[in-house]
Amino acid sequence: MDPGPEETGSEIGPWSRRRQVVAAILWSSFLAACAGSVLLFGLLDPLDVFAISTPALPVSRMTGYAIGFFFLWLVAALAAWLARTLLARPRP
Amino acid sequence: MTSPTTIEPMYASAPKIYPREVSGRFARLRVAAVWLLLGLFYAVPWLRWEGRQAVLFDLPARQFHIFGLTFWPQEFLFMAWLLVLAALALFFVTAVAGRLWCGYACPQTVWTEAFIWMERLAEGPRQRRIKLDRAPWNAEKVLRKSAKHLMWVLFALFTGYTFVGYFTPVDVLAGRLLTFGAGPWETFWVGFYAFATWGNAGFLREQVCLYMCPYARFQSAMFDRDTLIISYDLERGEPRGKRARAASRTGLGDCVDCTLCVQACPTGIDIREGLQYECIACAACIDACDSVMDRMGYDRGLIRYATQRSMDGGESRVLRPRTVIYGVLLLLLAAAFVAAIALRSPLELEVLRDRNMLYQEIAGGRIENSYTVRLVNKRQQPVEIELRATGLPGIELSGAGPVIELGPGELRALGVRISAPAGAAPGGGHEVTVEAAVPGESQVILGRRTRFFLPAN
Ligand code: SF4
Ligand code: SF4
Repeated sequence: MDPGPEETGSEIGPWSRRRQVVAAILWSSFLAACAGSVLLFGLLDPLDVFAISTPALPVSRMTGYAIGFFFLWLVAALAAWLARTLLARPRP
Repeated sequence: MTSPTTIEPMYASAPKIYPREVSGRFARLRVAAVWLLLGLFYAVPWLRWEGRQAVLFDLPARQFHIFGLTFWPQEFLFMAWLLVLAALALFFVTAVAGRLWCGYACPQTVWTEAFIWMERLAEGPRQRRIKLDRAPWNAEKVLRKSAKHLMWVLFALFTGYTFVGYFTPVDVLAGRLLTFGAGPWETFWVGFYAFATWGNAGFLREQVCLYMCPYARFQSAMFDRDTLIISYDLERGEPRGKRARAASRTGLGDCVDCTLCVQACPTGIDIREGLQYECIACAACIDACDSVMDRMGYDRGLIRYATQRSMDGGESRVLRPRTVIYGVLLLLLAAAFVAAIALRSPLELEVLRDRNMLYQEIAGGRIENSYTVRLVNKRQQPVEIELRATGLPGIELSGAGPVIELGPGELRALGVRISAPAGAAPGGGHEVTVEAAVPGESQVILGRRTRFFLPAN
Protein backbone atom coordinates (compact mmCIF):
# COMPACT_ATOMS: atom_id res chain seq x y z
CA MET A 1 0.00 0.00 0.00
CA ASP A 2 1.03 3.51 -0.62
CA PRO A 3 1.76 5.44 2.55
CA GLY A 4 -0.12 8.72 2.61
CA PRO A 5 1.73 11.97 2.08
CA GLU A 6 1.44 12.74 5.76
CA GLU A 7 3.52 9.68 6.59
CA THR A 8 6.21 10.22 4.00
CA GLY A 9 6.13 13.95 4.25
CA SER A 10 6.24 14.19 0.48
CA GLU A 11 4.06 16.54 -1.46
CA ILE A 12 1.89 14.81 -4.00
CA GLY A 13 0.48 16.79 -6.78
CA PRO A 14 -1.30 20.09 -6.84
CA TRP A 15 -3.97 19.29 -4.26
CA SER A 16 -3.65 20.70 -0.79
CA ARG A 17 -4.02 18.30 2.11
CA ARG A 18 -7.32 19.86 3.12
CA ARG A 19 -8.72 19.53 -0.36
CA GLN A 20 -7.71 15.87 -0.46
CA VAL A 21 -9.48 15.26 2.83
CA VAL A 22 -12.69 16.95 1.72
CA ALA A 23 -12.67 15.05 -1.58
CA ALA A 24 -11.94 11.73 0.12
CA ILE A 25 -14.75 12.19 2.64
CA LEU A 26 -17.34 13.24 0.07
CA TRP A 27 -16.30 10.67 -2.48
CA SER A 28 -15.97 7.63 -0.23
CA SER A 29 -19.31 8.39 1.37
CA PHE A 30 -20.85 8.88 -2.07
CA LEU A 31 -19.71 5.40 -3.12
CA ALA A 32 -20.96 3.92 0.15
CA ALA A 33 -24.32 5.65 -0.31
CA CYS A 34 -24.64 4.24 -3.83
CA ALA A 35 -24.02 0.69 -2.62
CA GLY A 36 -26.26 1.28 0.39
CA SER A 37 -29.13 2.58 -1.75
CA VAL A 38 -28.99 -0.46 -3.99
CA LEU A 39 -29.17 -2.76 -0.97
CA LEU A 40 -31.79 -0.74 0.86
CA PHE A 41 -34.19 -0.26 -2.03
CA GLY A 42 -33.69 -3.79 -3.27
CA LEU A 43 -35.28 -4.92 -0.04
CA LEU A 44 -37.60 -2.02 0.62
CA ASP A 45 -40.21 -0.18 -1.42
CA PRO A 46 -40.28 3.51 -0.43
CA LEU A 47 -44.04 3.51 -0.97
CA ASP A 48 -44.42 0.91 1.79
CA VAL A 49 -42.37 3.08 4.12
CA PHE A 50 -44.45 6.16 3.33
CA ALA A 51 -47.64 4.16 3.78
CA ILE A 52 -46.60 3.45 7.37
CA SER A 53 -45.00 6.76 8.26
CA THR A 54 -46.76 9.54 6.35
CA PRO A 55 -49.88 8.05 4.75
CA ALA A 56 -51.47 11.46 4.34
CA LEU A 57 -48.72 12.89 2.10
CA PRO A 58 -48.73 12.05 -1.61
CA VAL A 59 -45.03 11.17 -2.05
CA SER A 60 -43.64 9.32 -5.04
CA ARG A 61 -41.15 6.50 -5.17
CA MET A 62 -38.59 8.78 -6.82
CA THR A 63 -38.78 11.12 -3.86
CA GLY A 64 -38.32 8.16 -1.57
CA TYR A 65 -35.24 6.99 -3.43
CA ALA A 66 -33.73 10.45 -3.39
CA ILE A 67 -34.38 10.96 0.32
CA GLY A 68 -32.87 7.56 1.07
CA PHE A 69 -29.81 8.21 -1.06
CA PHE A 70 -29.02 11.63 0.36
CA PHE A 71 -29.68 10.42 3.87
CA LEU A 72 -27.19 7.57 3.42
CA TRP A 73 -24.69 9.95 1.87
CA LEU A 74 -24.97 12.29 4.82
CA VAL A 75 -24.60 9.51 7.39
CA ALA A 76 -21.65 7.96 5.56
CA ALA A 77 -19.97 11.36 5.22
CA LEU A 78 -20.37 11.93 8.95
CA ALA A 79 -18.77 8.56 9.65
CA ALA A 80 -15.91 9.29 7.26
CA TRP A 81 -15.35 12.70 8.79
CA LEU A 82 -15.36 11.21 12.28
CA ALA A 83 -12.87 8.53 11.25
CA ARG A 84 -10.62 11.17 9.79
CA THR A 85 -10.87 13.27 12.94
CA LEU A 86 -9.99 10.32 15.16
CA LEU A 87 -7.05 9.35 12.96
CA ALA A 88 -5.56 12.81 12.78
CA ARG A 89 -2.63 13.05 15.13
CA PRO A 90 -3.40 15.42 17.97
CA ARG A 91 -1.04 18.35 18.18
CA PRO A 92 1.25 18.32 21.19
CA MET B 1 -9.80 18.59 9.49
CA THR B 2 -6.44 20.20 9.74
CA SER B 3 -5.48 21.84 12.98
CA PRO B 4 -6.91 25.29 13.60
CA THR B 5 -3.54 26.99 13.55
CA THR B 6 -2.67 26.10 9.96
CA ILE B 7 -5.20 27.21 7.46
CA GLU B 8 -4.47 25.61 4.15
CA PRO B 9 -6.00 26.97 1.01
CA MET B 10 -8.30 24.63 -0.89
CA TYR B 11 -6.36 25.23 -4.06
CA ALA B 12 -2.62 25.09 -3.84
CA SER B 13 -1.45 27.03 -6.82
CA ALA B 14 0.41 24.43 -8.81
CA PRO B 15 1.39 24.43 -12.43
CA LYS B 16 -1.31 23.00 -14.65
CA ILE B 17 -0.30 19.78 -16.40
CA TYR B 18 -0.49 19.96 -20.16
CA PRO B 19 0.23 16.39 -21.20
CA ARG B 20 1.85 16.21 -24.61
CA GLU B 21 -0.42 14.46 -27.07
CA VAL B 22 1.01 11.25 -28.46
CA SER B 23 0.01 9.01 -31.27
CA GLY B 24 0.79 5.36 -31.61
CA ARG B 25 -0.57 1.89 -31.18
CA PHE B 26 -1.94 2.33 -27.68
CA ALA B 27 -3.40 5.75 -28.32
CA ARG B 28 -5.29 4.23 -31.27
CA LEU B 29 -6.43 1.34 -29.12
CA ARG B 30 -7.79 3.75 -26.54
CA VAL B 31 -9.63 5.78 -29.15
CA ALA B 32 -11.22 2.56 -30.38
CA ALA B 33 -12.21 1.69 -26.81
CA VAL B 34 -13.67 5.17 -26.34
CA TRP B 35 -15.79 4.88 -29.46
CA LEU B 36 -16.98 1.41 -28.52
CA LEU B 37 -17.80 2.12 -24.88
CA LEU B 38 -19.28 5.59 -25.29
CA GLY B 39 -21.13 4.35 -28.37
CA LEU B 40 -22.65 1.57 -26.33
CA PHE B 41 -23.49 3.90 -23.46
CA TYR B 42 -25.33 6.35 -25.69
CA ALA B 43 -26.96 3.77 -27.97
CA VAL B 44 -28.19 1.09 -25.58
CA PRO B 45 -31.13 3.06 -24.15
CA TRP B 46 -32.50 3.37 -27.69
CA LEU B 47 -32.57 -0.38 -28.36
CA ARG B 48 -36.05 -1.85 -28.44
CA TRP B 49 -37.15 -5.30 -27.44
CA GLU B 50 -40.70 -6.58 -27.95
CA GLY B 51 -42.16 -3.10 -28.09
CA ARG B 52 -40.38 -1.60 -25.08
CA GLN B 53 -36.98 -0.25 -24.17
CA ALA B 54 -34.59 -3.20 -24.15
CA VAL B 55 -32.53 -2.10 -21.15
CA LEU B 56 -34.54 -0.20 -18.58
CA PHE B 57 -34.03 -0.13 -14.84
CA ASP B 58 -37.52 1.07 -14.21
CA LEU B 59 -37.19 2.46 -10.71
CA PRO B 60 -40.67 4.03 -10.51
CA ALA B 61 -42.21 0.65 -11.33
CA ARG B 62 -39.57 -1.37 -9.48
CA GLN B 63 -38.84 -3.67 -12.41
CA PHE B 64 -35.55 -4.15 -14.22
CA HIS B 65 -35.79 -5.06 -17.90
CA ILE B 66 -32.74 -6.45 -19.64
CA PHE B 67 -33.78 -7.62 -23.09
CA GLY B 68 -36.08 -10.61 -22.56
CA LEU B 69 -35.46 -10.81 -18.81
CA THR B 70 -37.35 -8.95 -16.15
CA PHE B 71 -36.08 -8.72 -12.61
CA TRP B 72 -38.16 -7.89 -9.57
CA PRO B 73 -37.06 -6.43 -6.28
CA GLN B 74 -37.41 -9.90 -4.75
CA GLU B 75 -34.71 -11.02 -7.15
CA PHE B 76 -32.41 -8.31 -6.06
CA LEU B 77 -29.94 -11.03 -5.11
CA PHE B 78 -29.21 -11.47 -8.82
CA MET B 79 -28.10 -7.87 -9.05
CA ALA B 80 -25.83 -8.19 -6.02
CA TRP B 81 -24.47 -11.38 -7.51
CA LEU B 82 -23.78 -9.63 -10.79
CA LEU B 83 -21.84 -6.91 -8.96
CA VAL B 84 -19.75 -9.56 -7.19
CA LEU B 85 -19.06 -11.17 -10.56
CA ALA B 86 -17.97 -7.85 -12.02
CA ALA B 87 -15.65 -7.20 -9.08
CA LEU B 88 -14.09 -10.65 -9.39
CA ALA B 89 -13.58 -10.18 -13.12
CA LEU B 90 -11.81 -6.91 -12.35
CA PHE B 91 -9.52 -8.63 -9.80
CA PHE B 92 -8.75 -11.36 -12.28
CA VAL B 93 -7.88 -9.00 -15.12
CA THR B 94 -5.83 -6.84 -12.76
CA ALA B 95 -3.82 -9.79 -11.48
CA VAL B 96 -3.01 -10.87 -15.03
CA ALA B 97 -2.65 -7.63 -16.91
CA GLY B 98 -2.47 -4.81 -14.40
CA ARG B 99 -4.51 -1.66 -14.74
CA LEU B 100 -5.91 -2.35 -18.20
CA TRP B 101 -9.18 -1.10 -16.80
CA CYS B 102 -7.71 2.32 -16.07
CA GLY B 103 -6.10 2.69 -19.46
CA TYR B 104 -8.98 1.71 -21.68
CA ALA B 105 -12.29 1.11 -19.94
CA CYS B 106 -12.73 3.27 -16.86
CA PRO B 107 -15.51 5.83 -17.40
CA GLN B 108 -13.12 8.43 -16.00
CA THR B 109 -10.60 7.66 -18.77
CA VAL B 110 -13.18 7.35 -21.49
CA TRP B 111 -15.00 10.59 -20.79
CA THR B 112 -11.79 12.46 -20.14
CA GLU B 113 -10.56 11.35 -23.56
CA ALA B 114 -13.76 12.67 -25.15
CA PHE B 115 -13.47 15.99 -23.29
CA ILE B 116 -9.82 16.37 -24.27
CA TRP B 117 -10.79 15.77 -27.87
CA MET B 118 -13.25 18.65 -27.68
CA GLU B 119 -10.66 20.81 -25.97
CA ARG B 120 -8.21 20.21 -28.81
CA LEU B 121 -10.88 20.94 -31.35
CA ALA B 122 -11.51 24.35 -29.82
CA GLU B 123 -8.10 25.36 -28.51
CA GLY B 124 -5.70 23.46 -30.69
CA PRO B 125 -2.76 21.23 -29.72
CA ARG B 126 -0.64 21.51 -26.56
CA GLN B 127 1.65 24.40 -27.52
CA ARG B 128 -1.23 26.53 -28.80
CA ARG B 129 -3.20 25.81 -25.64
CA ILE B 130 -0.35 26.85 -23.37
CA LYS B 131 0.08 30.05 -25.36
CA LEU B 132 -3.65 30.72 -25.31
CA ASP B 133 -3.78 30.34 -21.53
CA ARG B 134 -0.94 32.83 -21.10
CA ALA B 135 -2.31 35.32 -23.62
CA PRO B 136 -4.40 38.24 -22.44
CA TRP B 137 -8.12 38.00 -23.00
CA ASN B 138 -8.83 38.95 -26.59
CA ALA B 139 -11.56 38.08 -29.04
CA GLU B 140 -9.91 34.87 -30.14
CA LYS B 141 -9.36 33.63 -26.60
CA VAL B 142 -12.96 34.37 -25.64
CA LEU B 143 -14.21 32.64 -28.75
CA ARG B 144 -12.07 29.53 -28.33
CA LYS B 145 -12.73 29.20 -24.62
CA SER B 146 -16.46 29.63 -24.96
CA ALA B 147 -16.58 27.16 -27.84
CA LYS B 148 -14.87 24.61 -25.63
CA HIS B 149 -17.18 25.22 -22.69
CA LEU B 150 -20.26 25.18 -24.86
CA MET B 151 -19.28 21.79 -26.29
CA TRP B 152 -18.47 20.47 -22.83
CA VAL B 153 -21.75 21.60 -21.31
CA LEU B 154 -23.89 20.29 -24.17
CA PHE B 155 -22.07 16.97 -24.16
CA ALA B 156 -22.35 16.70 -20.37
CA LEU B 157 -26.08 17.47 -20.48
CA PHE B 158 -26.61 14.86 -23.16
CA THR B 159 -24.68 12.41 -21.02
CA GLY B 160 -26.84 13.19 -18.00
CA TYR B 161 -29.96 12.77 -20.08
CA THR B 162 -28.74 9.41 -21.41
CA PHE B 163 -27.89 8.24 -17.90
CA VAL B 164 -31.38 9.02 -16.63
CA GLY B 165 -32.67 7.31 -19.78
CA TYR B 166 -31.56 4.02 -18.26
CA PHE B 167 -34.02 4.54 -15.44
CA THR B 168 -37.00 6.09 -17.15
CA PRO B 169 -38.08 5.56 -20.77
CA VAL B 170 -35.55 7.49 -22.82
CA ASP B 171 -37.81 8.65 -25.67
CA VAL B 172 -40.53 9.94 -23.36
CA LEU B 173 -37.87 11.68 -21.29
CA ALA B 174 -36.53 13.49 -24.36
CA GLY B 175 -39.94 14.96 -25.09
CA ARG B 176 -40.49 15.95 -21.50
CA LEU B 177 -37.09 17.59 -21.12
CA LEU B 178 -37.41 19.53 -24.36
CA THR B 179 -40.78 20.93 -23.29
CA PHE B 180 -39.55 21.54 -19.73
CA GLY B 181 -42.16 19.07 -18.54
CA ALA B 182 -39.87 16.56 -16.82
CA GLY B 183 -40.45 15.68 -13.21
CA PRO B 184 -38.36 17.48 -10.60
CA TRP B 185 -36.28 14.40 -9.81
CA GLU B 186 -35.61 13.57 -13.44
CA THR B 187 -34.42 17.11 -14.05
CA PHE B 188 -32.34 17.01 -10.91
CA TRP B 189 -30.58 13.72 -11.77
CA VAL B 190 -29.89 14.82 -15.35
CA GLY B 191 -28.23 17.92 -13.91
CA PHE B 192 -26.41 15.95 -11.23
CA TYR B 193 -24.89 13.47 -13.64
CA ALA B 194 -24.11 16.17 -16.18
CA PHE B 195 -22.35 18.19 -13.50
CA ALA B 196 -20.33 15.17 -12.36
CA THR B 197 -19.30 14.36 -15.93
CA TRP B 198 -18.37 17.96 -16.67
CA GLY B 199 -16.34 18.35 -13.49
CA ASN B 200 -14.64 14.95 -13.57
CA ALA B 201 -13.80 14.81 -17.27
CA GLY B 202 -13.30 18.50 -17.93
CA PHE B 203 -11.42 19.65 -14.85
CA LEU B 204 -10.40 16.95 -12.40
CA ARG B 205 -9.27 14.33 -14.93
CA GLU B 206 -6.32 12.32 -13.61
CA GLN B 207 -6.69 13.96 -10.22
CA VAL B 208 -9.67 11.65 -9.76
CA CYS B 209 -7.26 8.73 -10.26
CA LEU B 210 -4.72 10.22 -7.88
CA TYR B 211 -6.91 11.37 -5.03
CA MET B 212 -10.31 9.78 -5.32
CA CYS B 213 -10.07 6.36 -6.89
CA PRO B 214 -10.16 3.45 -4.45
CA TYR B 215 -9.13 0.98 -7.13
CA ALA B 216 -5.81 2.75 -7.61
CA ARG B 217 -5.01 2.21 -3.96
CA PHE B 218 -5.75 -1.51 -4.12
CA GLN B 219 -3.34 -2.14 -6.94
CA SER B 220 -0.49 -3.32 -4.75
CA ALA B 221 -2.80 -5.89 -3.16
CA MET B 222 -3.63 -7.36 -6.56
CA PHE B 223 -0.26 -7.05 -8.25
CA ASP B 224 2.57 -9.53 -8.03
CA ARG B 225 5.77 -10.14 -9.92
CA ASP B 226 3.87 -11.78 -12.78
CA THR B 227 1.44 -8.94 -13.41
CA LEU B 228 1.78 -7.05 -16.67
CA ILE B 229 2.70 -3.46 -15.87
CA ILE B 230 4.10 -0.51 -17.77
CA SER B 231 7.81 -0.90 -17.26
CA TYR B 232 10.96 0.89 -18.26
CA ASP B 233 13.76 -1.47 -19.19
CA LEU B 234 16.48 -0.23 -16.84
CA GLU B 235 19.06 -2.65 -18.08
CA ARG B 236 18.63 -1.52 -21.66
CA GLY B 237 18.09 2.16 -21.06
CA GLU B 238 20.76 3.05 -18.55
CA PRO B 239 22.99 4.91 -18.36
CA ARG B 240 20.74 7.38 -20.09
CA GLY B 241 22.12 10.37 -21.91
CA LYS B 242 21.78 12.73 -24.84
CA ARG B 243 23.66 11.97 -28.01
CA ALA B 244 23.97 13.54 -31.43
CA ARG B 245 23.30 10.49 -33.55
CA ALA B 246 22.15 6.96 -32.89
CA ALA B 247 25.62 5.66 -33.63
CA SER B 248 27.51 8.18 -31.53
CA ARG B 249 26.80 6.67 -28.14
CA THR B 250 29.73 5.89 -25.98
CA GLY B 251 28.78 3.53 -23.21
CA LEU B 252 25.26 4.95 -23.10
CA GLY B 253 22.10 2.91 -22.88
CA ASP B 254 19.15 3.26 -25.22
CA CYS B 255 17.45 6.08 -23.31
CA VAL B 256 18.28 9.37 -24.99
CA ASP B 257 16.88 11.31 -22.03
CA CYS B 258 14.52 13.31 -24.20
CA THR B 259 11.90 13.23 -21.37
CA LEU B 260 9.12 12.77 -23.88
CA CYS B 261 7.73 9.99 -21.69
CA VAL B 262 7.48 12.39 -18.77
CA GLN B 263 5.89 15.10 -20.89
CA ALA B 264 3.32 12.64 -22.21
CA CYS B 265 2.35 11.34 -18.80
CA PRO B 266 -1.05 12.69 -17.74
CA THR B 267 -0.25 12.12 -14.08
CA GLY B 268 3.11 13.79 -14.40
CA ILE B 269 5.36 10.95 -13.25
CA ASP B 270 8.61 9.60 -14.60
CA ILE B 271 8.09 5.92 -15.33
CA ARG B 272 11.85 5.45 -15.47
CA GLU B 273 11.83 5.60 -11.69
CA GLY B 274 9.81 2.40 -11.58
CA LEU B 275 6.15 1.61 -11.04
CA GLN B 276 4.31 4.17 -8.96
CA TYR B 277 0.74 4.07 -7.80
CA GLU B 278 0.03 7.22 -9.78
CA CYS B 279 0.57 5.32 -13.01
CA ILE B 280 -2.83 4.73 -14.60
CA ALA B 281 -1.34 2.44 -17.25
CA CYS B 282 -2.45 4.70 -20.05
CA ALA B 283 0.58 3.63 -22.12
CA ALA B 284 1.11 7.18 -23.40
CA CYS B 285 4.76 6.88 -22.36
CA ILE B 286 5.10 3.68 -24.42
CA ASP B 287 3.80 5.41 -27.54
CA ALA B 288 6.04 8.42 -26.88
CA CYS B 289 9.12 6.31 -26.35
CA ASP B 290 8.41 4.03 -29.31
CA SER B 291 8.31 7.06 -31.58
CA VAL B 292 11.74 8.11 -30.32
CA MET B 293 13.15 4.61 -30.71
CA ASP B 294 11.84 4.52 -34.28
CA ARG B 295 13.53 7.82 -35.04
CA MET B 296 16.78 6.67 -33.52
CA GLY B 297 16.56 3.33 -35.28
CA TYR B 298 16.64 1.42 -32.00
CA ASP B 299 14.25 -1.41 -31.16
CA ARG B 300 10.86 -0.44 -29.79
CA GLY B 301 9.87 -1.37 -26.27
CA LEU B 302 12.34 0.44 -24.04
CA ILE B 303 9.14 1.20 -22.16
CA ARG B 304 6.65 -1.61 -22.61
CA TYR B 305 4.02 -3.81 -21.05
CA ALA B 306 6.09 -6.36 -19.14
CA THR B 307 6.09 -8.24 -15.87
CA GLN B 308 8.50 -7.62 -13.09
CA ARG B 309 9.71 -11.17 -13.40
CA SER B 310 10.44 -10.94 -17.12
CA MET B 311 12.29 -7.66 -16.56
CA ASP B 312 14.45 -9.51 -14.04
CA GLY B 313 15.17 -12.09 -16.70
CA GLY B 314 12.71 -14.72 -15.48
CA GLU B 315 9.87 -16.49 -17.20
CA SER B 316 6.47 -15.02 -16.25
CA ARG B 317 3.59 -17.31 -15.57
CA VAL B 318 -0.04 -16.55 -16.22
CA LEU B 319 -1.12 -19.61 -14.25
CA ARG B 320 -0.32 -19.08 -10.59
CA PRO B 321 -2.30 -19.53 -7.38
CA ARG B 322 -3.73 -16.03 -7.42
CA THR B 323 -5.02 -16.12 -10.97
CA VAL B 324 -6.20 -19.72 -10.68
CA ILE B 325 -8.23 -18.93 -7.56
CA TYR B 326 -9.76 -15.78 -9.08
CA GLY B 327 -10.40 -17.61 -12.35
CA VAL B 328 -12.02 -20.68 -10.81
CA LEU B 329 -14.18 -18.58 -8.51
CA LEU B 330 -15.20 -16.42 -11.44
CA LEU B 331 -16.16 -19.41 -13.57
CA LEU B 332 -18.11 -21.08 -10.77
CA LEU B 333 -20.03 -17.96 -9.86
CA ALA B 334 -20.76 -17.14 -13.51
CA ALA B 335 -22.01 -20.67 -14.22
CA ALA B 336 -24.19 -20.64 -11.11
CA PHE B 337 -25.53 -17.23 -12.11
CA VAL B 338 -26.54 -18.40 -15.58
CA ALA B 339 -28.10 -21.55 -14.16
CA ALA B 340 -30.02 -19.60 -11.53
CA ILE B 341 -31.37 -17.21 -14.16
CA ALA B 342 -32.38 -20.05 -16.45
CA LEU B 343 -34.08 -21.95 -13.66
CA ARG B 344 -35.75 -19.06 -11.91
CA SER B 345 -39.46 -19.48 -11.48
CA PRO B 346 -41.71 -17.60 -13.88
CA LEU B 347 -44.22 -17.06 -11.08
CA GLU B 348 -44.27 -15.64 -7.61
CA LEU B 349 -46.76 -17.15 -5.16
CA GLU B 350 -47.44 -16.17 -1.56
CA VAL B 351 -50.10 -17.64 0.70
CA LEU B 352 -51.26 -15.82 3.83
CA ARG B 353 -53.76 -17.26 6.29
CA ASP B 354 -56.53 -14.88 7.27
CA ARG B 355 -56.02 -14.29 10.94
CA ASN B 356 -59.49 -13.34 12.11
CA MET B 357 -61.05 -16.81 11.99
CA LEU B 358 -59.43 -20.16 12.65
CA TYR B 359 -61.98 -22.22 10.72
CA GLN B 360 -65.59 -22.31 9.69
CA GLU B 361 -68.06 -25.18 9.30
CA ILE B 362 -69.80 -25.27 5.94
CA ALA B 363 -72.42 -27.48 4.30
CA GLY B 364 -71.66 -31.16 3.72
CA GLY B 365 -69.77 -31.61 6.99
CA ARG B 366 -66.76 -29.76 5.69
CA ILE B 367 -64.41 -27.37 7.43
CA GLU B 368 -63.18 -24.25 5.67
CA ASN B 369 -60.19 -21.91 6.23
CA SER B 370 -59.63 -18.68 4.30
CA TYR B 371 -56.44 -17.30 2.81
CA THR B 372 -55.12 -14.49 0.71
CA VAL B 373 -53.03 -15.58 -2.26
CA ARG B 374 -50.64 -13.14 -3.98
CA LEU B 375 -49.61 -14.05 -7.51
CA VAL B 376 -47.05 -12.31 -9.69
CA ASN B 377 -46.42 -13.19 -13.32
CA LYS B 378 -42.75 -12.42 -13.82
CA ARG B 379 -42.80 -13.15 -17.52
CA GLN B 380 -43.43 -10.73 -20.33
CA GLN B 381 -46.14 -13.04 -21.75
CA PRO B 382 -49.62 -13.64 -20.32
CA VAL B 383 -49.99 -16.89 -18.40
CA GLU B 384 -52.92 -19.09 -17.36
CA ILE B 385 -52.83 -20.98 -14.14
CA GLU B 386 -55.03 -22.99 -11.85
CA LEU B 387 -54.78 -23.05 -8.05
CA ARG B 388 -55.04 -26.34 -6.17
CA ALA B 389 -54.61 -27.52 -2.62
CA THR B 390 -53.03 -30.81 -1.52
CA GLY B 391 -52.00 -32.42 1.73
CA LEU B 392 -55.23 -33.87 3.20
CA PRO B 393 -57.74 -36.42 1.87
CA GLY B 394 -60.69 -34.70 0.16
CA ILE B 395 -59.10 -31.23 0.30
CA GLU B 396 -60.40 -28.61 -2.13
CA LEU B 397 -59.62 -25.02 -3.02
CA SER B 398 -62.36 -22.63 -4.11
CA GLY B 399 -62.92 -18.95 -4.74
CA ALA B 400 -60.22 -18.42 -7.35
CA GLY B 401 -62.23 -19.53 -10.37
CA PRO B 402 -61.19 -22.41 -12.60
CA VAL B 403 -58.51 -20.55 -14.53
CA ILE B 404 -56.64 -17.41 -13.49
CA GLU B 405 -55.30 -15.30 -16.30
CA LEU B 406 -52.38 -13.02 -15.50
CA GLY B 407 -51.14 -10.39 -17.93
CA PRO B 408 -47.43 -9.70 -18.47
CA GLY B 409 -45.87 -8.62 -15.20
CA GLU B 410 -49.24 -8.61 -13.47
CA LEU B 411 -49.57 -8.83 -9.72
CA ARG B 412 -52.87 -10.05 -8.23
CA ALA B 413 -54.14 -10.71 -4.73
CA LEU B 414 -57.04 -13.20 -4.41
CA GLY B 415 -59.17 -14.31 -1.49
CA VAL B 416 -59.47 -18.12 -1.57
CA ARG B 417 -60.96 -20.81 0.66
CA ILE B 418 -59.63 -24.28 1.36
CA SER B 419 -61.96 -26.93 2.71
CA ALA B 420 -61.69 -30.56 3.84
CA PRO B 421 -64.07 -33.12 5.41
CA ALA B 422 -64.33 -32.61 9.17
CA GLY B 423 -62.91 -36.03 9.85
CA ALA B 424 -60.08 -35.87 7.36
CA ALA B 425 -57.52 -35.64 10.12
CA PRO B 426 -57.33 -35.17 13.90
CA GLY B 427 -58.10 -31.66 15.24
CA GLY B 428 -55.47 -28.94 15.17
CA GLY B 429 -53.16 -27.45 12.55
CA HIS B 430 -52.01 -29.38 9.52
CA GLU B 431 -49.56 -28.53 6.83
CA VAL B 432 -51.12 -28.24 3.38
CA THR B 433 -49.75 -27.00 0.08
CA VAL B 434 -51.24 -24.47 -2.32
CA GLU B 435 -50.07 -25.18 -5.83
CA ALA B 436 -50.10 -23.05 -8.95
CA ALA B 437 -50.44 -25.43 -11.87
CA VAL B 438 -50.94 -25.48 -15.60
CA PRO B 439 -54.76 -25.62 -16.06
CA GLY B 440 -56.10 -29.13 -16.69
CA GLU B 441 -52.70 -30.73 -16.37
CA SER B 442 -50.82 -32.29 -13.52
CA GLN B 443 -47.76 -30.09 -14.06
CA VAL B 444 -47.15 -27.92 -11.01
CA ILE B 445 -45.29 -24.67 -11.52
CA LEU B 446 -44.86 -23.69 -7.92
CA GLY B 447 -46.15 -24.70 -4.48
CA ARG B 448 -46.28 -22.90 -1.12
CA ARG B 449 -46.95 -24.51 2.24
CA THR B 450 -49.42 -23.08 4.72
CA ARG B 451 -51.41 -24.22 7.79
CA PHE B 452 -54.96 -25.57 7.73
CA PHE B 453 -56.96 -25.90 10.97
CA LEU B 454 -59.54 -28.56 11.83
CA PRO B 455 -61.69 -28.62 14.98
CA ALA B 456 -61.14 -31.36 17.56
CA ASN B 457 -63.89 -33.98 17.22
S1 SF4 C 1 3.72 6.41 -16.49
FE1 SF4 C 1 2.27 8.00 -17.02
S2 SF4 C 1 2.17 7.92 -19.25
FE2 SF4 C 1 3.11 6.02 -18.59
S3 SF4 C 1 1.41 4.61 -18.45
FE3 SF4 C 1 1.73 5.45 -16.41
S4 SF4 C 1 0.32 7.17 -16.34
FE4 SF4 C 1 0.52 6.63 -18.50
S1 SF4 D 1 10.81 8.62 -24.16
FE1 SF4 D 1 12.19 6.91 -24.12
S2 SF4 D 1 14.09 7.76 -24.80
FE2 SF4 D 1 12.85 9.47 -24.26
S3 SF4 D 1 13.37 9.86 -22.14
FE3 SF4 D 1 11.64 8.50 -22.11
S4 SF4 D 1 12.54 6.48 -21.95
FE4 SF4 D 1 14.12 7.86 -22.61
